[in-house]
Amino acid sequence: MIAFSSLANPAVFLRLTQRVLPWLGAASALLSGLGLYLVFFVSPADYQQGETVKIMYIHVPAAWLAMFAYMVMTSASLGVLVWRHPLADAAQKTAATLGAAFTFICLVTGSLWGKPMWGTYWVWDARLTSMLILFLLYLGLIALRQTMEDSPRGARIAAIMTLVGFVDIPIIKFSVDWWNTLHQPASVLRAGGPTIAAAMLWPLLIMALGATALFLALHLMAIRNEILRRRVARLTLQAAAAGEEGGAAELLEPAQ
Amino acid sequence: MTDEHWGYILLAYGVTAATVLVLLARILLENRRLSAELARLEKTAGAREETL
Repeated sequence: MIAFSSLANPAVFLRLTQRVLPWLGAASALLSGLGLYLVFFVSPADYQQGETVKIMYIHVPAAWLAMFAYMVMTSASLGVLVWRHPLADAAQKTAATLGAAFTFICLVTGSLWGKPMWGTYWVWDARLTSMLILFLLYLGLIALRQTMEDSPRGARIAAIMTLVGFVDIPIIKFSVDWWNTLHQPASVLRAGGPTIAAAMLWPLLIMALGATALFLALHLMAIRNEILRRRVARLTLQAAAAGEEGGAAELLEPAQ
Repeated sequence: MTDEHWGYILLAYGVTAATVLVLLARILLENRRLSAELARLEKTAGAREETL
């Protein structure tokens, strides 16, 4: 616990991430490059969907990351509420933009996959609707953070709102089991094991790992930016206060 | 699968690449701006401490 809390020190975090980020970036580039090669030159066309199945290799990792980002935000929110740690607040705040971006990718690629396969870009079924709600949740949380100053109270309100929104995550996951949906049921993360052919599963898992490394790299970079932004804000306030004191001294000088 | 569906595939990959690039560029540009601003403020704070 002591080691964990020392890692959560912003200065230690900045030093540690400086070393980790190149490795994460390289892992993301290598895995995504290998994954794209497998997708476009090795993996077979689906017997029903043909080449359109290639959209799956970006749609599914984006969907996983959209939910993963929210789980990161939920964990960070617990860190804010229980330990009141500023780094947890920075992690919670910065994950929202990334989560929104990956949810956007999931919705757009799903729509582009749906048109040739279902004959429509959009249908109000449970999976699609709950994913759209997740996107709106992200936008709402981003807007909420922008309207509030960096105060402990603001961080706690955002953390509570994030915890309330977590109810959408199991709904997304189990929507295809609980309701009759046009969206297919889970074929990778399911109780009986994956039902997808190995020739498609491996490229999908490699693309997912590459996307996860990318997400982690972007998140660490965004947290670093948030730490820098708070330092800039603090120094600006100090400079303004010193300027006011200096100004007050100058005003007093003639009288002295 | 007919060729017309390649348009959907390429558009999906294009939107994904564009979104990731925008995210990356936004973060990198913000980092550059904040680093420059922090260096300027630290320099000013240092000069002020020397004056005092």
